[in-house]
Amino acid sequence: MHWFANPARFIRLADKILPLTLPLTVGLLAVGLYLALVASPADYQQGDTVRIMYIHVPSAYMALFCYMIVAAAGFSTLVWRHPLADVAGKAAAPIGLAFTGLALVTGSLWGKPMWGAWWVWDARLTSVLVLFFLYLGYMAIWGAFEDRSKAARAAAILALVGVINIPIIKFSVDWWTTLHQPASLFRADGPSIDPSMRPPLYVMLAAFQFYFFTVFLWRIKGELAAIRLNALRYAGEAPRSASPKEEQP
Amino acid sequence: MTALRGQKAWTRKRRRFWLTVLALLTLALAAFLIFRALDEQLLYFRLPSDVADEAPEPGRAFRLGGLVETESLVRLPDGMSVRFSVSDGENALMVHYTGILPDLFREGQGIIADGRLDENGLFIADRVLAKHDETYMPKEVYDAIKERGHPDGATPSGKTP
Amino acid sequence: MNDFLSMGGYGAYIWACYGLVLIVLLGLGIVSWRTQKTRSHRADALKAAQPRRRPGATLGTSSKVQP
Repeated sequence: MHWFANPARFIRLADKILPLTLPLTVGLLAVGLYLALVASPADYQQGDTVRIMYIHVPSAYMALFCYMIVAAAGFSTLVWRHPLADVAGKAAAPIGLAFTGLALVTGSLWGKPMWGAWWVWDARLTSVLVLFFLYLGYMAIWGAFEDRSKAARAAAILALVGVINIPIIKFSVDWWTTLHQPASLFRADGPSIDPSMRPPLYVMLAAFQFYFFTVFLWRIKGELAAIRLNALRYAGEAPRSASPKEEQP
Repeated sequence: MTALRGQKAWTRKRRRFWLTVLALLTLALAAFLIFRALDEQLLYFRLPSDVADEAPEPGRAFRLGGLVETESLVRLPDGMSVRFSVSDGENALMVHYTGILPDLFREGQGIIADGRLDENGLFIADRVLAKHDETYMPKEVYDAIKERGHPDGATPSGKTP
Repeated sequence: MNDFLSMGGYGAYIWACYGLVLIVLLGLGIVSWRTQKTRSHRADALKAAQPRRRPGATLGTSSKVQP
């Protein structure tokens, strides 16, 4: 029971952070949308479709970022059995799934007019699809086990096995020939994006990052509340089982 | 006995930590070996030089990638078909394609074509995809760079690896 | 305004992307916020409804039923 002190402190901290991250998310998103859709130039080759980049790249970045959180949480679950760690992993996974899905769909909607295909099975697209299924599998494992600590450990193992996929996604465009172009933002010799096109990208990246922290904290609070609710129900049910006629809550 | 006491310093958590790290390293090694073995299959397309080295037999499907050579594009009299040469700087291959080309298709552009060689060594494409590079800039910037006479300053589109 | 909407002919693709991103992010945000709100309310209510019992206090009654 002693660890209940820890989540309580965490919730207090979250309640202090959330009033900052929520308005920051909304504000950055509004500025980002203005910059991306209105105040930035069209590309010399791709025309206005370059605007899809301003949400596609941040979505893909967040998909990887969330996975790193899930994997780090899994590591912490397996090694230190930290109870907040599996809560964090469970909370981050659906956000990662959403961003991975968005990266796939926005990429598809960008690929059709530019490449001429909605989808191709090159190494980059395929490895991101694998990431999508890793998130799904991770969440399915959480749902499949009755016992919470067993679920946490099984999910953590999957998360750590799947970590192999992260460098594959990142470097697939360099290691193999792909239809997808190589990195334009996170590259050794600096971004290959004209300075006039960087502000919308950077602001959107920041907006998505703050969005993640906001929703992540909400989801952790939700998970902790579910654990507390379970403990309360269990405590409430145990003595009542003595008189079966009584209605269950 | 003293050795055992030293062992005791290895708490369960520390042992789990190193076991997990070891397991991850093993996994990484396994993945590395698997992907090394699969390397060929993971290539999405082949360059004209690869085809020159080892031409797939006629009729066998593969993907060809490279730059559309400037002034090689010919529209055939049927109005639907085009012929162009795809090059990687060293070797080139003639491609025949009937159908709608993607918006980004132009001479100098990187493309990937699905298709097969015919008996005469002509590549018959069923589908042509445009490959764009990782450079993004407004048209004005591109024109300015071109005017200043830095043809390589503005990376030509679709620089294939 | 029409130029803005048509986005050089790619309007359908671009607006679909932005619309989808906003719907998904908004949806996930609202669900996450509502879940934590209702759960913690329910937990608070349950805690308030439960009479303060020390585990020992109920042992007497349950031990009669259990063999």
